[in-house]
Amino acid sequence: MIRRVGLFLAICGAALAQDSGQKKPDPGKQQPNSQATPPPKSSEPAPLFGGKLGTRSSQKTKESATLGFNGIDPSGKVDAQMLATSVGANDEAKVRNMANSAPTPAQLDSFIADGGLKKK
Amino acid sequence: MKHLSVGAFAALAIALAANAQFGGVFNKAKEKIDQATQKTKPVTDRAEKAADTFQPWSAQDEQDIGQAGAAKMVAIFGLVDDAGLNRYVNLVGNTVGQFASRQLPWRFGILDTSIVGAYALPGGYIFITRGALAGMTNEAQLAGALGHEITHCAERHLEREIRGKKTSAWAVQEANNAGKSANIASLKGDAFVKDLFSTSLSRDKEDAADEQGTQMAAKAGYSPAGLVQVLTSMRDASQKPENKQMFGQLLSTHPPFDSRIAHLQPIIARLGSSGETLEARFSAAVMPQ
Repeated sequence: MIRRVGLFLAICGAALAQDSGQKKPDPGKQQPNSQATPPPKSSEPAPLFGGKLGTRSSQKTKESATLGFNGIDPSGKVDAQMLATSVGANDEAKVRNMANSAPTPAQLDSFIADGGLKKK
Repeated sequence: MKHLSVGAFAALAIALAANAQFGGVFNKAKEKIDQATQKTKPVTDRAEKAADTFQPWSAQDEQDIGQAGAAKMVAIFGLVDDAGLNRYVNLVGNTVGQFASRQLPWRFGILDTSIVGAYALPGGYIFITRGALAGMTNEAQLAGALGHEITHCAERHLEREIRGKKTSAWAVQEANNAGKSANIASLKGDAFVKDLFSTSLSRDKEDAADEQGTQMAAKAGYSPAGLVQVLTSMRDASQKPENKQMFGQLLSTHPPFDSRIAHLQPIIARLGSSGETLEARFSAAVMPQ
């Protein structure tokens, strides 16, 4: 009986050890890997264009969940199926909302002054 | 006078007799002409519509087509949903947009795609992709890239290209296919976006956009080297086979990077090396820790 219990515990322990080794990161959670583990040393600079923006939004849309190339054929062109995507009310609302990101004259003046830029 | 009256009476009598005898023939001929007119009317309508598409778009047309086209772009790619980043890109775009040749209500959005590109739609709608932003390192580069698109928009480059190549039949065709009840602005917006991804602007228009974009950025106080730096980074990155998907769309509709860089070099030399690059502000907005 003791042997059986011992064997059962050993199997459970091994299974737990394997599980923790294979645990995948939560894709919805920001991984603090840049602080926990230093980036691998390389003589080449960080790759441009392939990088990830530091967008603060937790909302993922379309490609950003995978950082892939949805609807782009191997040559880099937008495929016909993607071009045929229907426009929904939500898309139209987002376009109307684009106007909300336009700065007020006061905000623009402040931005220009802060950067040492020029106003027309 | 009497002879005339008699002659006139005789002519009237003959005419009445002829009408009585041949009236049916005339009526049939008229019916046939009417039928032929009805048959040719749709062709005439199409011709009128085609002629209409060759007129420069009004400010309202630009807004309607631009808004519909922008909705199509958002439907295809989605928008990066980050209010702070959107506000920043709009601030940079509007700073450069002050110096555009034509003032429009500039609206900037970030398309949620890894492909590298930026797009100008009628009416002041301008998009840059997440992939393009990820390749930049300072605000002057973003200003130069947005200046390029603002020029396309202000100068109606794609609209002119479509009219010049007589490809505007797209709008008529789309309208005919969809029937008269369809929203014509939406159809034109759809067709415009398809052209956006398949039409190469003429070399002089791309050169003009590079040149004016650089000059506008410089007038706003940015380093004039911003756009050429972006083009140089793009050229280097696009030469790697693994980046083909990222740059394929851009390269299919634009001149080679090397020739664009060569065109800009003397312009930058004339404009001088002064101007802001604002790396820290760019990093804080685009890649916050």
